[in-house]
Amino acid sequence: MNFLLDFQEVLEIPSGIINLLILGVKESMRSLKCLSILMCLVLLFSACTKTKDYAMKEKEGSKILTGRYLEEKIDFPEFTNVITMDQVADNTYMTLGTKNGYDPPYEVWCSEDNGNTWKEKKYDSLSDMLIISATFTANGGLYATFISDDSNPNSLQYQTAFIDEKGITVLQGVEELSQYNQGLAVTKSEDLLINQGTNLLQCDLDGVEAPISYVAGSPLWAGSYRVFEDRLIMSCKEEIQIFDTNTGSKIGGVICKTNSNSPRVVATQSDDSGIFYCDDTGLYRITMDGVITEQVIDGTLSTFGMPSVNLLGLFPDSDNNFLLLCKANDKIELKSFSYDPNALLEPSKNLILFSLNDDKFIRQAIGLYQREHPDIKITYQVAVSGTDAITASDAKRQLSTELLSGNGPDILILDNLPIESFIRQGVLADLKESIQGLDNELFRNISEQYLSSEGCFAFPARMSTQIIAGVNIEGVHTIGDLVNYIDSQSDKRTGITPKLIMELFYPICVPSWFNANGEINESTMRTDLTTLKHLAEISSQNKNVPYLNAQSTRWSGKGLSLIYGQLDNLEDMSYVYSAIDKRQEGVVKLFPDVSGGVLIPSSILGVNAASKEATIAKDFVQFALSFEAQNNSFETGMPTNLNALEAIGKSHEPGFYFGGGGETDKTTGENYELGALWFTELQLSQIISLLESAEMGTPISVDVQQIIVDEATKCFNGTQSIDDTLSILNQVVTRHLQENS
Amino acid sequence: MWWRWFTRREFHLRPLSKTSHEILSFIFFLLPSFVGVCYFVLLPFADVVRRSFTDTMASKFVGLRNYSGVLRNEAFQLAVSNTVRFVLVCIPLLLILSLMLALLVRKVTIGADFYKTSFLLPMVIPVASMVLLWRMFFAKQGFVNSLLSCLDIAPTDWMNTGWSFAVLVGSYIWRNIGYDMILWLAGMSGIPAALYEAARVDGAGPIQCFFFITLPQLRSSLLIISILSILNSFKVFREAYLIAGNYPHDSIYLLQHLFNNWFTNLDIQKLCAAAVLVAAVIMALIFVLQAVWGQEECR
Repeated sequence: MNFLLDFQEVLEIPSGIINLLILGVKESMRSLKCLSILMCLVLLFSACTKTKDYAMKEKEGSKILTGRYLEEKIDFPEFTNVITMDQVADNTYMTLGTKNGYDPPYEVWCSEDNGNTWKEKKYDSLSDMLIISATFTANGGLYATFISDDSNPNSLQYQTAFIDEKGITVLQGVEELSQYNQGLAVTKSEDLLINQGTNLLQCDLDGVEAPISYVAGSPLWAGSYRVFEDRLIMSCKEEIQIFDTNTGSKIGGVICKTNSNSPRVVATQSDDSGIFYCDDTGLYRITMDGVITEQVIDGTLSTFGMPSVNLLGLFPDSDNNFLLLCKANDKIELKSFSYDPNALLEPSKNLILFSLNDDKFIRQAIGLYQREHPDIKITYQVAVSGTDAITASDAKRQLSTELLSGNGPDILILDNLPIESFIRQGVLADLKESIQGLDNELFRNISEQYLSSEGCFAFPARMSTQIIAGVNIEGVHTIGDLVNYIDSQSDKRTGITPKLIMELFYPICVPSWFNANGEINESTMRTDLTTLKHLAEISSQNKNVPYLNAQSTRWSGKGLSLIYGQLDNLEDMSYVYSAIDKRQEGVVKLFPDVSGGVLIPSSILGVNAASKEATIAKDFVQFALSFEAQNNSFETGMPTNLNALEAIGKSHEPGFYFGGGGETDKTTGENYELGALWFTELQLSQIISLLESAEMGTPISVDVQQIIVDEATKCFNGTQSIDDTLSILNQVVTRHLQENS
Repeated sequence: MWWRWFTRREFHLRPLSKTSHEILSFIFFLLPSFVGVCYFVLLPFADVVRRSFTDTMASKFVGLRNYSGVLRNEAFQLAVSNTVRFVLVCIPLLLILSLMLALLVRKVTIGADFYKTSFLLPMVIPVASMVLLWRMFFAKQGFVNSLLSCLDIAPTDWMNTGWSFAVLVGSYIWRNIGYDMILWLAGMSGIPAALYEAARVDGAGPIQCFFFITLPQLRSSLLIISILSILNSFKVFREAYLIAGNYPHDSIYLLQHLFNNWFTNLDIQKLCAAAVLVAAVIMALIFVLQAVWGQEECR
């Protein structure tokens, strides 16, 4: 009977039941039935007992795990670009950067207290140099590659020189290598390492030894290699390779197991016992033999995971605290990560934020919020990640199940979810107080639409709109006018293709396609479908140019009849205005401009009414709509916070060269070029007043929306008549309305 | 704790009588499955019944409001009428065709196993693959329309017209006919051969044998096959959903489409009320079938 006692221990069965069992078994051991009964009981008890749960044990136990790296922003020179930052001695760092975009003058700053305070060092010879790459030596000297002759833009001349406070010494014999120079480093033996894009070339400046090439096979930049003593650590695809700089031979390599697409930055541990590397998933330490990998800092809880941040350099000190050099919103920042043994290992409060699709703005807001609240962790749950077979439909059903069981996520991103239904069913909490706290900051036309007497159950954090720019477009108010305008142009070239038509025009058509009671307005829909079908026919020869910057470039060279598309970020307006300035003609306006244009909401925030952490969730929503979180530019939409939009609009001086480039029409072979200059304050106020006059689009069922897009596309392709399309859509919408009646 | 009672010294098992032994055995054998059924079927159904009288988040009792709402809902009425129409068309058709097939297969002496297996094949084809096949056949530019155009017949949009109902019926019968045929064959194998021999001695022909021996003897099988076919008919939603999505043509808009859409839109209170109504109707139907055919069998 000992096996029963073993069962008792394993399954945690109460001892009384085991005694009863033993008694019963002894009574009728000979019977075969008894064995069956025994099996039934074992099955029954196994179903009723609990397994040993790690989480439970942790909860029941009094031990709370502590010890975590805490992040802090350090005062750093207000650089817009850093050419290099190097640790030249213990606790001493030197950096070379500029405060004028990428252009001179360059400044050298130095910190001798582990990055806490910085002071400028004057290098007179740097005054007018256009530096491409540089690196500091241990004694504070600087190797730099610069453009020595820019008289002919097609054949710029480069030179590499040694610069210190005394002056400049041009290096001879490396002119040719300087042409392909994307970064510099110095070895312990004062050899120069030149980054040539996908490999590093080690050059003996005395010219005694032949250059050694270290091939990465993947793009290299300043953060992806580091020299430590006589070793070179270089990040290559999934591996970090270690080379001996004396011999040029590979002496080791470790595999990085993180699943990240962001660039990897490497550094060595000060006692040479391991390698640190970081990407957007966090900071990791890996032993030199590659056997042990540990996550030192969780990317989701820190700057590492923020979409607006580009990691540039990582500098561990002897206490294994870190300095992280990064670029965020066109500004260079230095962050310090110091280990606090008393900080909770995991934040004490955990919230779940659900979104059907990944949203950079939300990721950024979570990062910022968690940085302000170290005791709160928000787990970002992206339902349709693309890495598995889960469809949007599966995800929605799963969400419904969780919400109905009372275990739903705390915060919901309601994009492509049935918002109206969620509100009707009382799933969403009232956000009125949170929104009213920000009322002066938010766009009034948006808050008026979402705030009602019954409450505010959802609010968009971002928005897009559609714009049209061109010559003589003053009379273009409706889709019909637009198609007539394109028809009247001699070349009829636009960036619109039949495939894009429904995607572009659905948000602006849908308000007029449905009556107040939700039924289809058949006559309007028929007219619009007929017009759009005609647009599809005349656009069938067009090439897909969906982005406003590319359209502006082409239109500026008269390669398109007009600019038409979705405005997702303010930066695109600099292209549109620059194109108008270049042609010295044309205007820009929202489309359609019958009722002031249509705003398309995105990153729509909602809070689960049944959330146990509803107060924190509402606080997060308020934070996500605040200036601090909204003052970031992403291609997924413009801020609904007016102050943040203004701040983004003023983030550059008017006339600042924002970007630009060339476009080639592969059909005609024509080249178009446009340099985008940042818009003026007057133009910014024009954009804002246009946005203030627009109305938020009416959301309808996402399922119905998908059917409308699919069926209308069939109609434009010519595989289905307008009558059939209308009949199907009428049927679907009627059914949808009946279901919800 | 309740189990401490068992560990007390004064507690002893008395010798059990034979009847008590048997009862205890029954209980122990039934207990695991009974617990399973309770946990996975009865308790959830009880919760569905409870939720049918509350609002969405089950926080407020609303009486019969959900039921009246569901009964007045036009989408529900359409779904019910389509489902009933589907069952009324499909079940007799399936029963008759599968019975005929069973009779034919029974007559085949060479390769009978091959035929049985062949007719069962549609059951093992995954639904997703089958749906692909249907799409290839019945798309507007699909195989059937290209065949029709060869015969100078105008193409039809099979899935967006009334024809979609016929396509769904065909799909259901094609998939289930083999299964029902096997059930009929199992029922036929239980009919004593002596009955046929005696009838033939008395001068009965094959038709008389079928109507006076086979059919009456298959009554108990008919009950089981009918119930299973009705239950299987509800599974046809998978095909309809995968072919035509959440909002198919009106003629194949079934109860499960409605339930699925209600669930996604969190209209759980309506869904529960409708589920209770449907369960009640199905149970009533089963009781009626059992009462009618079961009584006749007893006679």
